[in-house]
Amino acid sequence: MTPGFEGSFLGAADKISSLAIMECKICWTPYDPAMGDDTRQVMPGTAFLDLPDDWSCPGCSAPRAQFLVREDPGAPSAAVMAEMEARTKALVADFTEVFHSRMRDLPMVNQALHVQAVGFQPYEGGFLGVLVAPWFMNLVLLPGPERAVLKVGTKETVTFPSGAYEFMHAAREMVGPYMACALFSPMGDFTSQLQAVEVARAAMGELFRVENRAETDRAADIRALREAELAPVAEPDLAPSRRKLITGGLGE
Amino acid sequence: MSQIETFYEVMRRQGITRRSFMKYCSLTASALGLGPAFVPKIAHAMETKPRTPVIWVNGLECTCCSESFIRGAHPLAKDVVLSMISLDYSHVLMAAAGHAAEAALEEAIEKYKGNYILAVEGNPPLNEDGMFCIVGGKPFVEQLRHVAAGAKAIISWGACASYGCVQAASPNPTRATPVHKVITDKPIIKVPGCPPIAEVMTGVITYMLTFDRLPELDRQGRPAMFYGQRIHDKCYRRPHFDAGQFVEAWDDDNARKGYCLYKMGCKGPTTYNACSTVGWNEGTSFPIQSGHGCIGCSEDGFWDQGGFYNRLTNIKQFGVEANADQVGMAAAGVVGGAVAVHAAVSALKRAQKKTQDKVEG
Repeated sequence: MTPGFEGSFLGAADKISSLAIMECKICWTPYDPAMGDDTRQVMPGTAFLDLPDDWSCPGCSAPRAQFLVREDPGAPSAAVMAEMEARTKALVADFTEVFHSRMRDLPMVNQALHVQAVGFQPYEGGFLGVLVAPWFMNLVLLPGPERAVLKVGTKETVTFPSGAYEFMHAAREMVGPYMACALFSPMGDFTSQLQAVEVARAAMGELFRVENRAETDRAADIRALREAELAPVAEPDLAPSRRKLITGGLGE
Repeated sequence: MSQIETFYEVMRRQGITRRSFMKYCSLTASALGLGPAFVPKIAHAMETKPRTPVIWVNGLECTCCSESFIRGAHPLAKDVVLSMISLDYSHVLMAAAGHAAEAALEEAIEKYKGNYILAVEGNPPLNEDGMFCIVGGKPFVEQLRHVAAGAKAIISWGACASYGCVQAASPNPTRATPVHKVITDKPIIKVPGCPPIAEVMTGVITYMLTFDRLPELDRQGRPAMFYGQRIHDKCYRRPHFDAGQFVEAWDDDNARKGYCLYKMGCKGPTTYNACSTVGWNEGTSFPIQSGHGCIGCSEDGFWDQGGFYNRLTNIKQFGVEANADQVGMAAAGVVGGAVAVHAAVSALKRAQKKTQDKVEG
């Protein structure tokens, strides 16, 4: 059976944690493990998965499988999302501070814009997204613990489906080490924050599409072709053999 | 189509012995980093493969382009000059002089009509019928038109040939004019810079020879792979710009820390070139790395864009490859999915690494 637009948990016990707060998809009655269920005298602290098999919605008697996840603080992804939110928040706070303290009176700054983190998503243990600011728009990689921290200004190539991008290592007091790849700067051509965010969001999508690869100098291709030109020419075997001599070459 | 000689035939014609030829092949092998086993293979390729004739003419210029070109390291300029092209005419590099040189030019034009690449260094002055630049007793503009007529494609080396450079700076007394405004009926590839980076010059020419076509060009006719990136976007001092850390005066504490030179007049934010990725002198350094701002030498009319140390104020551009719908987006403030995607894709393509380290696929 393909669920189509199902959305409910359908008994997928491996997808939810014991802390998951569930909600009936028909009458929106929630089940919170912290509260239990008075109707069936389920003690507080009972996980949704530990409810009796014949348990149904206390509001409308819908079957247990028809419940949706409302929120799942115990899911592994929730911890990641919380970390992502904290780190992007620090990023935005840090660059907002830079704007107010050092950038706001420079003529190249676009006063219509403000600092915003767009489209952040987990990437290789870290987080990847676009940082929009009144003076730049960068792809920003907040690195995971296993990525080496290099000196500010060092370039490192990160490969996405659309091509290889050079990210520059940098660090800020609040953000810690991060890597950035410039998309726009200065930002004079954006007329509104909405427009800049739209472009940032599009960039995050297009980054993962193969057809957006640009042409390179093809130096390696050229070298390979040149070396192939110089490749050995098949030398005819000129050594005399008894068989050749007798058959006059017909026996080959 | 006239028969194009192989390298070996040319050398023989010029009276070079087979022994010297083989010696040259072994030198080439070592220059390419290949072992002695490759010597016969190189000899074979040179005996059989036809070379592309190149005619290199010089107008009003300072020879910095030639100087840069012969310092190319990847690929080695001498490898390009000696084994891929036949430089049939070049003031700077040819052995012949005087009437013999001019005769060689006529011979090359006649022999390779429609097949040669014309490389132009410098530009023709048009005032007083071109009398401000005389080559071989005739105005350079006449020589240029004459040679261009039979060319397959034209390379405009440097800011002079591409945009006019210092001799075309206001008030331009000689009316020095870039090549594309004089020759309008041939494909022209601009390789601006004062001079262009050596590796860019050899890279462009080997690309054209290997794939027998022009590389992808941007809207100004420059090869996108080298001129598609803003100095500012690939500058190693970029993190300091992002963080608002600027040099405020020469030799202040921030200058020692290597902060961003924008406030000292760096033209990086409006300049498209490969300096911050390829670097100069085999990638050793580039102006910003040695503590001076970019002067924007590869941009149109850079002598008339204000002082080198004036801070950029009016920088409102999406980049050279901005097209009609991007301009429309800026003007009308349209927020449309397709327009945003287009802007995003061009930004991503610009940001991509343009130097190829390994063969793909």
